Order: sequence, then structure tokens, then C-alpha cells
Amino acid sequence: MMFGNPLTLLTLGPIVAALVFMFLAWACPPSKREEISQYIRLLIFAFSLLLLSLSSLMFLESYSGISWTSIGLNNYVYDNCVNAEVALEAGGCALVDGFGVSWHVGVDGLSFPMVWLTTLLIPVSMLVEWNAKKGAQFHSLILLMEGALIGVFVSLDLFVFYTFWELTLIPMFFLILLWGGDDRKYAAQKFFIYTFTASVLMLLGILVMYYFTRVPVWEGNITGRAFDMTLMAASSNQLGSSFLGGFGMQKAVFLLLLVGFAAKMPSVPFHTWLPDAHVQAPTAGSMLLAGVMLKMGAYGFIRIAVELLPAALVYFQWLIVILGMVSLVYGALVCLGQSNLKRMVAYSSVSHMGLIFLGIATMQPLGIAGAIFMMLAHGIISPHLFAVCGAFKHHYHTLEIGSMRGIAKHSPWLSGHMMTAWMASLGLPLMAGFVAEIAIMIAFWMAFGWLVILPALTLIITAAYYLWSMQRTIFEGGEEGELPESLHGEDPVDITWHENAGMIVLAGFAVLLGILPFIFFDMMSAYSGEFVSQVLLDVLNEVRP
Amino acid sequence: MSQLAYIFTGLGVALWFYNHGEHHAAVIAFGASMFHLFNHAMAKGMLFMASGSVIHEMHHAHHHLAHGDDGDHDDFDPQDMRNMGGLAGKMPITATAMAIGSASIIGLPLIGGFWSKEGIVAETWNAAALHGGTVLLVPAFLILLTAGMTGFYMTRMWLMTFAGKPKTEFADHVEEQTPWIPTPLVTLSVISLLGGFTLAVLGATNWLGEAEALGTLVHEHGIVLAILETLVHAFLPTDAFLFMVTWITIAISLIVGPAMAMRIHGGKLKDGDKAPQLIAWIPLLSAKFGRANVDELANSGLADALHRRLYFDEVYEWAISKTVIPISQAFTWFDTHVIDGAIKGIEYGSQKISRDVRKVTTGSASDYILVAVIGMFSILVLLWGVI
Repeated sequence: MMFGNPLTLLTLGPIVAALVFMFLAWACPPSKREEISQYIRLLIFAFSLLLLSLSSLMFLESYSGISWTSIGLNNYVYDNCVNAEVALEAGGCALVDGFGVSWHVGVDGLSFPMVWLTTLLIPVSMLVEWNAKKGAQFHSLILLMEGALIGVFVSLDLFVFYTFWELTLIPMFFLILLWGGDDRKYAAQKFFIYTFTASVLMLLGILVMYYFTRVPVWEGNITGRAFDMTLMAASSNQLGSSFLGGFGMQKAVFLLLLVGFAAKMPSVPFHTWLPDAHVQAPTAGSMLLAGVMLKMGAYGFIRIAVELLPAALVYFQWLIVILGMVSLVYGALVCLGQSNLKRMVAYSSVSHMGLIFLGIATMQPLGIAGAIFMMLAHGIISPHLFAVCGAFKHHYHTLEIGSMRGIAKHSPWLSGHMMTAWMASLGLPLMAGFVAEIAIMIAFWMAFGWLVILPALTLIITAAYYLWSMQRTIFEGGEEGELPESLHGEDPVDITWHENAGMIVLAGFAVLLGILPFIFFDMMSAYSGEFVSQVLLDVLNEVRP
Repeated sequence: MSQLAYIFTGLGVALWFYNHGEHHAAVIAFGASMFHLFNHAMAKGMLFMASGSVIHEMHHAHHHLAHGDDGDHDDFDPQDMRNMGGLAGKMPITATAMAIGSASIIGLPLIGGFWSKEGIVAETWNAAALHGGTVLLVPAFLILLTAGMTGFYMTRMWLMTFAGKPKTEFADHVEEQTPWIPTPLVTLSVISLLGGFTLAVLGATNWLGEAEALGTLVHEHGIVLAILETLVHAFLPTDAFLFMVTWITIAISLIVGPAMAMRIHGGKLKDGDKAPQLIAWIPLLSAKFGRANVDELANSGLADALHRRLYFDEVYEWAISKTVIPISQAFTWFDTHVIDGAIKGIEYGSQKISRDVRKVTTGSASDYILVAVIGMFSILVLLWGVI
């Protein structure tokens, strides 16, 4: 019953496969290591493409028969444990009977785009960094990440959610430590310890919620409580203000969860791990970090904090607005002052994730849907940005913006991708970023009126730093341009075909989602519409009559 | 940009009318603005095309004559009108197209832009004088002033480029070469010439409010009467005030402005050059106004300021460099030293505490026994009451 579920396959499949491949890579004799490594790499890539096609088939309504826009609140697709209370009692999907952990998976309009995004980004990032050293281990780690990331997005049991949340840290830590830049030890440690500490506070919040989720004692259950999120959602809906024993506790838990998620997103002031981690990480690592890992924070915030504790969200609305606004404006202004290309892109991630907080704080269906779409759009554009940076590092051996001018002449493809990615990220219409930004801006105007001038002006600064860095690097420098010192007089080589292929796929999706955003926007707005009309409106009427 | 300002003035007047309950007038003003948008698009598009043609041929001529020199790195600017002159004979199609386009923009009666421009001017003065919108007197006067300036600058442009004697040898050497440029020029000329009038007869200024009204005039009264009606409506409006406004505008934009330009920049073509019939009279006319010497004015501070676009760009740059850049630098410093500083402080602090606390483990057995004994006594003391 558990394993027939495609979501289980998407989660556990990559993890098991990664471990098998790592074992194979370790077990093969040293003389044949190179050769076997190539085969393993191909196998891993093929496997990830298989998973991508599986998730794409799930998406196509004509194939899977699922209508993504009519799922309904607190209903999930491919749910393996539908009526949780009954099913747990019957012993169907329990994992650890003793203290109420179950293997409960399911997706809806919020999590499925993230699952699909993950399955897309894994093969793309593998392709972009095809020739990494010790390729078998490198790509196995990426595959392991895929399993852990998907696990975060599909699990509906808080214990399992937390497990996968922390599990994602491990492959990323090793990716940065073993394949990273010069300062990788510091960056890897900082990344791990910082986000781990924040997650521990989140764990505290989770444990409080667990404590209050009583279930009728089922066979083997000692504590009489469960971690199941659907049970918590049901009791939150029923109990309203006495959920978790009172509004005070709800606020405290909300803040604890907020710390964990804000550090992951990252939101100012918990963001300083990101620039170091990004600058030192290998290209594929950065792509996954920016593309999916950051979205885990936003997803968790919506799924757990917002869905289960809407009254606390209403109470703390201004806190979320301030966090989002500060991230947006501060991130953009700090970007303007960076000279390292990758650091600049890292801060721009901070800035864009601030918009997500703003979208959620508007508490409008359009705003929340815009925030979710921003997760998807940024998840496609940001890896493109980092792939370009990686190509720069690879072919020009430097990431200093000031060290080169006029590279359009030497690397036309790289320049073209830089322009595409840079323009997509600053929110050029016809690309995905614009759709998300405009949705959030409109919702912000509806909720906060003239205050929208602040995020709108920040868009100008966003454009400024992107255009400035792009102009300097690609265009200036007269007829010949200026090549950086780090090349030592050699001629630069334009990007390799796999870097190119990966980047073209990302660019293609950015444009596709910019022109036809409804592909994913419909299910997101169905989700947010249901949430606002069924849950938030009641809470708002209670709290502010 | 100046014509777009006309469009916006029309839109503003439309809104003013709407806010004051004059819905019918609002529709007319709005319609006139949109109509002007169309006319301007046609005429401006053609003017840019024609300018491109001129610049292209100037560039060609420069290459041709200067190819023996040190390549084309000298300071010759093919776009500079001061290098042109007398091109009417050499580039007949371009010159004609440019003349028609300019006429449309200036608002020559019966041609293209006239209908929409008159519409906007009339409605603005209507609002300002006849409907109590005294606040609108400022834009009303401004658009009259602009009409005059438009007449001046368009005529100046045409005369500097196409009339008079060639000012450089390159201008003398130009000839219309590419086969592709004339087609769009001719097409757009025809549209500019006739399009405005046709749409006006069809009632273009009213159709935005009542789409069914388009063409009612022609339908009801037949085409001849419709044309007459339109002409009468434009040139002989019943209201005396509007009659005055119409003819003053025509006078300013058609006579005053161009005459001033002709005085400064006019001149017959070089002997032996012949311009096409349609426009041949323009250089001849322009020569009759005498010559005014404006060298002093041309080198004045005002001319410099106008050339530097009233220093708007400099002001913007100054504002940004004094606000955004310093804030950005401050925030960058803050991020590295304060926020990350706090994290580094925690790192440093925890390591320091660890180093200090580690010193308790001295490795000496007697120290450990001492600590164990102290600990045992402390426990005894603490539990004294309980045991």
C-alpha cells in the first residue's frame, strides 16, 4: 500500500539509488574507477530523467486524470492515508507506532509545483556540472538531495517532514566541503550549523504542536499523540482559538516556526549564511541551493505556520511585512555594492524571497498565489543565474565584476545566457519573474494601498544592479574588451554544450511560464483562493470584526 | 515627446470634462487624443525613416569621398544637420516625404495631424474659456506656444537639411541610392496626407464614445456633404471664440513659426539642382524672408542649456549618486560588519569559552580528585535537608 504510491517512489527511489551508486563507486577497483564513474554518471542522469517524466506525467491531467485546480483545502492527491484518524488506527500508514509517526504523503496545488521543479532541476544541474571531479560521488550526492527535497514537499507528517528537512543539509554540506571554492570549510560549517540551529527552534514548535495533537490510542501508540499534519489541520479548524491550548501558545509556536523558516528562506536578519554558502559552493550545489532549498523555507512557512496557525499570521501580519520589506529593499541595496558576481546573485535571492513574505502577508488570494508562483519562477531563474556564474568561474577563472569588460566578443553564448538570465531575474515581462512580481504588487496595493511604492521603487534598484553588472561585463571595453588577469593571457573558451543545454532548458521554461503562467498559476490560485475563503476570512472576521 | 505631450493634454482635458459632468465633450477630447496618437504614429514613423535615409546617404557620401584618408575615424557626424544642406535636389523622395511628415506634425490645414491637433487645441480652450476651467488656461496657452515652436523647429529641420546650399562637400555628393527606402516613405506619405482627413470625415473624434457613430455623417448625408460639413466644422466653427482660437492656432503654427525659421535657415538651392515640383516652392519661398544673423544666440548659454537638455540628466545622476549609492555602501558595510559581525561574534565567543573551559581538564589526577571531593561535599550540603 505504501510503495505503490508514486510519491513514495519519487522520495525513496532517489535516496536508495544514490546509496547504491555511491556504494558501487566505492566498491569498484581503483584502476577502473574512471570508466565506471562515467557509466554511473550516465545511469544517475537517466534515472533523474525518469523521475522528471514521472512527475510531468502526474502533471498532465489527460494522463493522470487529476484535476489540479479542484483539489480542495486539506485534500491531497496521491494521498496514501486519506482519513488519517481512521487509517492510523487501522494501522495502515503508521511508521513508528510508538509515538505516532506515520508515512503520510500527498501533494496539492502548493506542493506539486515544487515537486516538479525539483525533478526538473536535478537533471539540469547535473548536466551543467557534468564534468565534476569524482563524478560518481558528486552526482550521487545530487540524487540523494533530490530524494530528500521531494520528501520535504510531499510529506504530511511533521516528524518525517523534519527528518527530510535536515536530511537535505547533509549532501549539500558535503557538496560544498568537497567540491567548493577556496573558503569552503568555513562556508560549509557556517551553512550547516546556522540552518541547523534555526531548525532546532522549528523543531521545538513542531513538538509543541505534536503535544497537543491527541489521537484515540491505536495499537502500539504509547503517547496518545501523532505528528500527522492533516490531524493538526482538522483540530486547528475545529478548535479555532483554543488550538494548542490558547492564542498565546499559538503565537509562541508561530514565532518559533518563523525563525526556522526565515533562516532558510533566507530572510534578513537571518540571511548571512547564504552569500558565503553560495560563493563557495560548486555550480550544481548553488543551483539546487537557490532553486529548491530556499523554497523549502517558504513552503514550510505556508504549509505549517500559515495553514495551521492563521490567527497568529493575522496577529503578526506587520512583522511579516517588515521582514519581507527589509529583505527586499536591504537585499537589493546590498547587491548594488557587491563586486563578486556570485555574491551579488546570492543577495538578489535574499531580495526576491522577501517578495514572497510580502505576498503572503497581503492575505489576498492573488498575493498568496503570487508568492507561490514566485517560488516556482525564482526556482527556475535563479539556477540559470548560478549556472551563468559557474560558467564564468569555469572559463574565466574569476567572478570579479570589475575584472573584465566586453566579453560578448569572446563568449557570445555565455553573454546571451547572461542577458537572458539577468533580464528574467529583474522581472522582464514575458518571463516568469514578472508574473510573480506583478501578482504580488497588485495584491500588495489591494491590502496596503500606497505602501506599494516601496517595493515598486526597489524593482528599479534591482534593475540597476543587474543592468550595471551586465553592461560592464558584456559590453564595455571598446573593440577588444578586457580579459581578466586570471586567464593569464589565454583566450577564453565559450561554454560547453552541456552547460549550454542546461541553461537553454531553464531559459525555455522561464519564457514558457512567462507567457503561459496559468499552467501552474491556476492550481496555485485555486489553493490560495480556497485557503483565504475558507480559513483566513473567518479568522479575520474574528480577530478584526 | 512634444506631440505626446499634446496627447496627454487632450487626455487631461477629457478627464477634466468628465469630472465636471460634460460627458460628450470628454468623449470628443479623448477621441481627439487617440486620433492624434494615430496621426503622430504615421507621421513620426515616416520622419524617422526619412532621417535614416538622409543619414545613411550622408554616411555613404562620406565613405566615398574620404576613403583615401585614415579610415572613417575622423569626427564627421553624419547626423549633424550643420553638415547637410541643399539635399532637396539630391534626394527628392526623401525630401518630399519629410515635407509631408513635417506638415502633418505642424498641423498644416487639411493634412493629417491638423484634424487631431485642432481637436485638442479647440477642446482645451473650450474647457478653459467656455466651461469655467480657468486652471486650464496655463496648458491652453502652452499648447499655443508649442504650436508655434513646432512650426519653427520642423521648418528649421527641413530647411537646414534640404534647402540652401550644401554646407559640406559630402552633402554635395549625396544621392538617393537604396531601392528599399522609397516604398515605405511613399506609403506613409499617402497615409499622412489623406488618412487624417478621411478619418475626420468619418467622424473619428466621436467614435470612441459611440462606435456606431463612425461614418454616420457619410451614411446620412452622402460623401460630398460629409466632406463639406467636416471642413465647415473645422474652419468655420459657429462659436465665435472657437473660430478665433482655430485661426490663431493656424496662424501661429503655419505662418509665425515657419516664417521665423525661414528667416534664419532659408535659402535657394544651388544653381543647377532641381527639387521635385511638390516642394520646389519651399526653398524659393524661404529665400524671400531675408537673412537673420543668430550667431550670438547660437553660442549663448541658453543654447548650451537647451543642447544639454536643461541639465535634467545631470540632476538625476547627482541625486542618485548622493542618495542611492551611499545608502547601498552603508548597507553593505552594515551587512558585513554588523549582521555577519554578530554571527562571527558568536563563533568567536563560543570558541573562546570552549578554550577557557577546556583548561579545567588539566590532566593531573590530583586535580580531578580534588574536584570530585568538592563536588561530593556540595551534593551533601545541597541534600542536607532531604537526606
